[in-house]
Amino acid sequence: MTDDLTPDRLDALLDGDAARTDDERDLLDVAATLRAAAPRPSPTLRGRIDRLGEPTRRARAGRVRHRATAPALAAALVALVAAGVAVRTIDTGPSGGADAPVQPTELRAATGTSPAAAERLEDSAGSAAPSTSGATIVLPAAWTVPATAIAAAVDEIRSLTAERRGTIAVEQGPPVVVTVTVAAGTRDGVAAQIAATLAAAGGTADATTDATTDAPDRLRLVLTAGTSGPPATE
Amino acid sequence: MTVASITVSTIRRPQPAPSFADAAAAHMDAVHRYLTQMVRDPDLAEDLTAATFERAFTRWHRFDPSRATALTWLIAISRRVALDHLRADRRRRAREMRVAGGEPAYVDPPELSGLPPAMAAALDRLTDVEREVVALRVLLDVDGPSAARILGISPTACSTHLHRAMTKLRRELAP
Repeated sequence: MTDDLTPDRLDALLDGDAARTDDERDLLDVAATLRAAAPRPSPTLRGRIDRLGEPTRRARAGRVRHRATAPALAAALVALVAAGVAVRTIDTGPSGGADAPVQPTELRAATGTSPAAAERLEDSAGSAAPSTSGATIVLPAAWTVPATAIAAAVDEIRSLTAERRGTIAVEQGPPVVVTVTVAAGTRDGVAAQIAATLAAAGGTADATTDATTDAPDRLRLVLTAGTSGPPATE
Repeated sequence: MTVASITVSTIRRPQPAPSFADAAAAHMDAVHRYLTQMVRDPDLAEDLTAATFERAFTRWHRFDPSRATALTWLIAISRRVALDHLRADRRRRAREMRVAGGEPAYVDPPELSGLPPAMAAALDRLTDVEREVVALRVLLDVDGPSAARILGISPTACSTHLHRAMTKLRRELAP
């Protein structure tokens, strides 16, 4: 490089000025050689970095879908809250005070519990049972969802889970078994959202089943493809 | 509309921020190139590139497109990631030397795969800051003021380092 080529001229050349002399052309050749020889990231690294962006895409897609289905979700949530209040009313009604243990027969009458599920509830009620708020089912475990809506519903649950930074495992059935793991403190909120999602998708639930598992951070759902019907919130 | 009002409306219009996924796809190659040039070790460069994007992902909400381009922002992060690593590595080596009670041994820099030997040798003869300036200005096409800001030096110093580096490279690589 000759002394004629000043730092300013070099900057200008690299910023796109055309070469005017052989020296300048040589210099741009060196730059081009350097660029051409630069290594590229491996496919493994690409995959690793691509995966970083995926939750953002899913969450954004989930937000868009939520906006579209907001009215249906709100209606379904109201129905679920009403169901919860109905169960609580049984507990605090004339047959017992606020501290009275729940009688399995009462729960069965209120929720149409099957004998097997009633046994389970009976175990949980016991002689020194907690109040019915502990027995209120926020998210039933067994759902019948229209076959055409089941995939979209699972996608929606996937988005909800991603937004709460949880994990989801889906066993393609039939039936489809979905296991969602989220932070323990957020599980009930996620459960309510999932219930609303499935209700909005036209799903009907077996209200005697409970998606909460022994683990405080996990929900387990069984989705069976079927025909549409009203949500089972009675 | 007067010139003044046009200026105000331009300033107030928020810059559209790209998504993290788009920025990562667009600038992954550049960040990797920069780090390869900086640490001279392909495997380490891959690890540091991944670390850069992991750090950028957790801080993406802080990225302000009105203050810097996504590339400049990512390169600034990658530089901190690399410097943190190099400092930690230096401390580790010093500790090991103290324990071993010996003299620090010279370690050959790993060979950069893909580069012609003459070019790799020429790049090795540059100083650290010269290599960084070449990476930013030549490989990544970052403009002078942005490169100077990333390196924490004045634009004049950046131009001088670049001139010195390109002079050396041209002399080494001349047929």
